[in-house]
Amino acid sequence: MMVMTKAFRKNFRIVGFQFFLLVQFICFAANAFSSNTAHQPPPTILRFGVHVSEIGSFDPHLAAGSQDRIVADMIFNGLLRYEPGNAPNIEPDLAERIPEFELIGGKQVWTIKLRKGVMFHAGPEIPAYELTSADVVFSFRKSAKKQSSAYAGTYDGMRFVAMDRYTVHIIVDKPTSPTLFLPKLTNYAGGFIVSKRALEAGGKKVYQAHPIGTGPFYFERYAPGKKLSLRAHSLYFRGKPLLDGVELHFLPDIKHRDTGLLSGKLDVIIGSGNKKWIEKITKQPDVQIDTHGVGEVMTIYMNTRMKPFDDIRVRRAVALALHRKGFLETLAKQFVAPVYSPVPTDFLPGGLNQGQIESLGLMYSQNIAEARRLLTEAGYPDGFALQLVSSEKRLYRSCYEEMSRQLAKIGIDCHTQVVSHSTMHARIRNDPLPLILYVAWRPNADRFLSRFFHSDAIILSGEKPDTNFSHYSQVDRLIEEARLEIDPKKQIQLWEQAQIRILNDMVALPIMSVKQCYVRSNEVHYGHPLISTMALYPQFTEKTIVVEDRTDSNR
Amino acid sequence: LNTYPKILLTILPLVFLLIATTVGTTYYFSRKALTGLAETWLDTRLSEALKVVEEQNDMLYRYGLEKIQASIRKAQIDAGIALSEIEVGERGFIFAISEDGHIAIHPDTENVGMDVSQTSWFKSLKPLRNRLIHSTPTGDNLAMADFFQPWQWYIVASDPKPEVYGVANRMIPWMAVLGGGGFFVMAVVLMFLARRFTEPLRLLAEKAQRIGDGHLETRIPITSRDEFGTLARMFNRMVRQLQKSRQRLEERVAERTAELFNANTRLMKEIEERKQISKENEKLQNQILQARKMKAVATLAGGIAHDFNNLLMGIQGNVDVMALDMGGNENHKKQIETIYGCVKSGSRLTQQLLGFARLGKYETEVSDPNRLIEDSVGLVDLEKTAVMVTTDVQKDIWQVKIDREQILQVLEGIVDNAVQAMPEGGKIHLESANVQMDDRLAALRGVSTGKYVRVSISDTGTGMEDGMIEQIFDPFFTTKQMQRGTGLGLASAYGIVRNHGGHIDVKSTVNQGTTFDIYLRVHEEEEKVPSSKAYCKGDGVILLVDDDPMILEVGQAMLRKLGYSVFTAKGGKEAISHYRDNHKRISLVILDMIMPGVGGGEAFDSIKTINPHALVLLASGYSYEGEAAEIMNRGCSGFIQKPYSLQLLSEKVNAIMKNDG
Repeated sequence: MMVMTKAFRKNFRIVGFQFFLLVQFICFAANAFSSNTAHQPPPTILRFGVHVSEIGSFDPHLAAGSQDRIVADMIFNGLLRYEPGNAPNIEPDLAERIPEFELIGGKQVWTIKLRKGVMFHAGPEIPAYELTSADVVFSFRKSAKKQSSAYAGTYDGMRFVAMDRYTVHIIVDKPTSPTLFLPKLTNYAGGFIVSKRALEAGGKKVYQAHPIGTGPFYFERYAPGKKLSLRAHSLYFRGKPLLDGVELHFLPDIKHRDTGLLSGKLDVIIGSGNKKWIEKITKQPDVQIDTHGVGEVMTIYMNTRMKPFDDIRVRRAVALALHRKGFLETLAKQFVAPVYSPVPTDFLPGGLNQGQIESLGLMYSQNIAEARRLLTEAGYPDGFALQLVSSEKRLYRSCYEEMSRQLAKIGIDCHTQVVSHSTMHARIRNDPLPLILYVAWRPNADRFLSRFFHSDAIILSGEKPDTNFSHYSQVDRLIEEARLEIDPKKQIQLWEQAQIRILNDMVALPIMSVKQCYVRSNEVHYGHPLISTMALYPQFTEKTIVVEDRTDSNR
Repeated sequence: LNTYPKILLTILPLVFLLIATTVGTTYYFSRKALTGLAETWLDTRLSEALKVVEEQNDMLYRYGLEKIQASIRKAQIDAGIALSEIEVGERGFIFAISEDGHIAIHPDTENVGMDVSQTSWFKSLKPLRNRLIHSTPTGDNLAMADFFQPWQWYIVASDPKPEVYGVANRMIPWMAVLGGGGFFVMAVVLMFLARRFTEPLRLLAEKAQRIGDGHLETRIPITSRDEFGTLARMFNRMVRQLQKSRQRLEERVAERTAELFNANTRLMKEIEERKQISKENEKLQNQILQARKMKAVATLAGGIAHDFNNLLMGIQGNVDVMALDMGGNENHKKQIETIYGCVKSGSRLTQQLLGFARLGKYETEVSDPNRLIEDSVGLVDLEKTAVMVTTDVQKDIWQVKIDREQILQVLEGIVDNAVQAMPEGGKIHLESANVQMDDRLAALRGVSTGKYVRVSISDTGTGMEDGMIEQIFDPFFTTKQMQRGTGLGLASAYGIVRNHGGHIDVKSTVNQGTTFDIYLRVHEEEEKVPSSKAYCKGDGVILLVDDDPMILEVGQAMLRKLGYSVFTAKGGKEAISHYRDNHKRISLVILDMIMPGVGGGEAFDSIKTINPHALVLLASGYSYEGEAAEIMNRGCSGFIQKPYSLQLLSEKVNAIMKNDG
């Protein structure tokens, strides 16, 4: 009886919601019909308060900041896409279906069949036109070039061939598993499909001022420091969005954002991990807090080429001195979860969970005595002092402080210099430090391992210096061969063995993952579940709606 | 036991043994083959497992992880996962045991770490590939094991026996069913065949039994060409021979039996006939004795009656003449009537005597028996009695030729006796019926075969005992008081009926009544109607011949009254003489038949010698039969019974004379 009641309630809600959508649609149609004759209601615009003051780049292949990714997500599509709100599950987007490969002459040939009737937005210099294989090939070739893409390395060894108007072959010199290959075609980073005609007509500059894609919303105007306006793409291949448009309001201060939300001037804002703020906003009746993946991973990297961390005993002593619980408590518990391997197990394959880590004896549970013993054994019975650099961001500062407190227990004295976030990024890449606490997200295990632990990514000295702050090089072969392994199981085993080696050598100590936090008005319905998203925001799609009829001046 | 069950009891166990052996052998070799098959694929799975662990171990060396315990452990875990994915049947699995006897890898994680070092099967493990049976909580498993040196692991590919031998085990019920079914089918077939093969034998035995029981018509219906067929043909041939012999024997016996039977029948018939003859002889003897006695009495009675009749004739004639002479004188009419009455009584007495003596039948005529019954009833004076008379006559009754007066006398006498037998009243019933007397009845009753009319007179009187019935026809036997009867009634009746060729039967039961059945011979010729009673006068000369002078005198007077001239002769001799002399004048001779000297017959012959055309009226007091009939047959013109009346005389004389004229 209870089950029936629950089912009935659930069905009632769904039916009610569908009825509501129908009513909204009818109202919308009626309004559209009457707009030419009578009072024209204001358009339904979703107002989104973001934590930055400007857009970094409208070119999706150069998007770095979360605001850039947010805009790219709404304007552009990939051949595939992460299911809205449910990454890393992948589904077809511009492609008709998930592609499969065949091995021809030792090379992997992936065949992509394009969806027909997909229309690009109209631009200032070109009208709307249908997406073809030429646009796809153009986009990937652009992504594969360092000059036009931040993700060029991702597409090394790949060639793109338009077979016909709707068919593209991607030829991979070194066969790659679907686990690693398919994300390259998604609506993330270099996978976005841009307009060949627009770029050829206007050059790079056109995308700096007016990005043109196939997504549910098209670019209308941008006022740096104020807002960015997007409008509904009426020819969107999944149907015209229910929203008339989306506005990004640039409000770096959380106070301004929550004030705007609570006053009704904003519909959705990027929240804060501050526990007090969370407690305050939670008490508000008309808003809803959403925390979801993917969560960026906070890891402590130890420089294996710098004394005293060139001694494994010192690194293990540091690991044994640290306790994850202290770090987790610096943030509201809704946002954080412990992480035990360099690749997080949430949302990605290839990580090691707590049980596996414990069974392998790599847990490094806090053991101050053992830590001291190791330090003593290593020749540091009284510990030593460390010079560290922290971002000014609250998350970094609080975690550096927590780390300092814990390491102090074994005699390690941390001196942390707080700098701007960008300075921190620059310092840690250009000035090797013995120990770095870093928060980042990578789309897959290979990216995590390659960028943090492959010797090519060693800062300053690596062939492609990136974020290998540990100067570690013992798992290069594992990472490389895993990258080329097309059997997903074996690939994961190699990733896992790489992480075991990393943890055994205690090159890095994963601490926790930090989820994203967004707050929305109860009137906002995203139109999809919200579990995790690679777009680093809740994702506004053609199904997203704001249900309240707002006709006041707050618009 | 018969051959059929013997065959079944002998072969069915053998069939069962054969099927059981076949099933058992099949199961054994199936199991053995499955063992070999299982070892093969367990060995294959084990090789795959070794390849998996070798790959993991190689991976460790390839990446320099061979000394990192966590990496080794992870490789082992991954190997375990890979091993668990190797399919070893549905229930089989691959697991690993460390050298010290602890389970390192097992698909059931609860078993990981379990110490099996003390188990016998573990102790039997060798660092070589080998087969073993190891026990689990769910039963024994068939397994193949090998030792992986780098990790010091025994890798074991194991499969539960029930699965290894699943096919064989699943075969058991099928084989049982097939075996049972096969046995059943074979049993049925065997029974059928045995029945088919032993059927001729059974038939032989059965038919031989029948033949042995004497049914030689039995044949053995076996037509096959095998030994049974030959045996049956020989047997049938033998039986046919036997049957023929028996038939001949039976025919001889039958013939002999028939002869004996016929002889016996003849003998019996002869004995019967002899008995009958003896009885009849005895009866005849009695009858002869009775007849002699009766003849003697009848002769006496006849003589008396003859003489007495002549006397009465004299009286009757004279009285008739006197009455004729007296004309209408009434002075002596009463006396004359009295004389007539006496003469009549005397005449009745003589009639009885003559009837008894069978001499009383004078004149027969065709009569209706039913009329006789009516007349006889009318003669009985029933007014003074309480007797009721009933009749039941047959309508188409045959006619009889009788002396009506005599038969009426008989019926009257019997009815009178019946009335007297019922002094307190009763019933008398008379009936008539046509009967056919066959030879047997005719012989029994002493009469001739032919048609008879039976007149039955029954009363409900006192009846008679058997001894009395035998005597009732004896003369002078009477049950009446002396003054009431003469004892000649029934004797006379019997004589009269017998004299008519008939017979009287008497049936009587004491206190119930008596029935007299009178059988009268049927007359099958037409008879002329009696003439009227008017005197027939004539003329002519008549020679009256009688030895009794009174008769001569009366007769002469009567003839003269009738208009005739009369010569008289006292005897035969005189009559011949007289006729010879006057035959041309004499028209008619009235000739007495019984006369001393030349009797009536001789005289008749003489007269006929004289004149073959002479007319002769024979007169006699005896009946017509006997000598009278012989004379009549010799050409006599007529017969008249004495005593005769003037009326009768005139009719007889007139009739002869008229015929002649």
